[in-house]
Amino acid sequence: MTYLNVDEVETAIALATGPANASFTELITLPHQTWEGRTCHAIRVHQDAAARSGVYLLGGVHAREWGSPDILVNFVQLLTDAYRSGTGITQGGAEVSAEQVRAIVDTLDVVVFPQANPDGRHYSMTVDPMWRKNRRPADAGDPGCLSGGGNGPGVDINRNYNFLWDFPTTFSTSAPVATSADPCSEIYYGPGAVSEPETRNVVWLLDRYPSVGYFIDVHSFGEAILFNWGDDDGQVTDPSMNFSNPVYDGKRGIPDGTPGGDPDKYREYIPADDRHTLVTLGTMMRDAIQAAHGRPYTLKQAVGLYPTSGTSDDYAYSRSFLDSSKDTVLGYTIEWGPQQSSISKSFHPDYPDMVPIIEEVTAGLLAFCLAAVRRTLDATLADAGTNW
Amino acid sequence: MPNYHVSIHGADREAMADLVRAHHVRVYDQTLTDEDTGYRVSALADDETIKRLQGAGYRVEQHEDVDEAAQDSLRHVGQGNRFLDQAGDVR
Repeated sequence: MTYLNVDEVETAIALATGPANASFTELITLPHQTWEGRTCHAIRVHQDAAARSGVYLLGGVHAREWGSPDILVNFVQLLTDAYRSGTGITQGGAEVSAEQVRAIVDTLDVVVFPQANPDGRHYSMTVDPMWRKNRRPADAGDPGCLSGGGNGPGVDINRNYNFLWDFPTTFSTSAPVATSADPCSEIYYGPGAVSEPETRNVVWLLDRYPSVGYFIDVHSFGEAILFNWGDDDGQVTDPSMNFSNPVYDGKRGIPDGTPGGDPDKYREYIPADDRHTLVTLGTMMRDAIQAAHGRPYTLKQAVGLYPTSGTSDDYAYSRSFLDSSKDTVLGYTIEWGPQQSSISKSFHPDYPDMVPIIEEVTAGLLAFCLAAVRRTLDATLADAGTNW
Repeated sequence: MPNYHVSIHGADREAMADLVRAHHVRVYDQTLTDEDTGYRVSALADDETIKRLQGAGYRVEQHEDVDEAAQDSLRHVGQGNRFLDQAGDVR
């Protein structure tokens, strides 16, 4: 067995929406072609036209993290096969019953975009295995970049979303932000917010499926589940201290754990209920991952010593704060797999080592969907109670 | 110029923050580890950067040339399209 190449990921998704699954799947053609002219596809799994709630799974954003599309293809194949055949799913020591599979597909829109950056993946799988970014060519006037080791032009899609994108303005000049304005850097944020077709495709799916209430971006490595926010510590008491308030420009990005503390005491607002839900659902995902093959993942807020800007999970969550007509989308990032002695093997383990990772993350995603089903059904019952 | 996987050891969190703020090193933040004598983080660096960091007081362990090591991974990439036979049923 080997990693799926770019064509295989696309074919696998098309197959999952074939005639046998047509009554409960939809093949989605993304509107923005990549820099190298590729058309991307996603899949929606649900029994009816639209669900009350939804989970959006994203993968393949960073080119060298080869296992992410393989995980999501495995997830889609198992979910659609099990639903069609009325069976359960087993991944290592983690199990989902046939009834639970049915509950997921009948209750949720499960939107899966497994390969957001096919240009980068192809380049990583054929030329430079350490390549991370998309394949945006150098703009006129850009500096010449070194090559190899992931060096070169291109944009880090996961620094290109419209969440505190303009980090030189929105963050403290003392903040060690893991984002760069250097076009040669592998964490280059791009010439403008949402400048990249790959980023616009991810955003388009959020717009297209307003049922989505949960977003999970699959990355490697570190065996961790990260949740909002990634720019600074969180706080639950002061709604005005938030990412959209320009009063706090120049004060973000210094977590309390920084030596000397945070002189400006900036913390990103998160409603207590959202934080509670993020932890509760994240715990279920973490426990299912461990049930699969015994490996403990860490569940924690995304921010660490090196805060981030322009990331997908924070963008997804930020949308409802800016537009009250939008429902809340809780955001997670999974960092699958352990660090290995070789850094390249950490990003793309030998395939036999990847197989249990595929299984454990699939188990975690299924458990997360089940938790989302329970929340949706509880809310439905509560609404029905209100109407009585 | 070869790019190496390195482990960078610094005395305190301030030094580790400076890796990004002052030295513009691409660190792998998820590898930041608290050690008895300070902190350690994995990163990518070329010879010039390694020398610069050592001159600034960091201890740098040089590991594999990432380009050389990563080439081995290419044998784990699928060739052709293993789903094409099944795809014929869809089209």
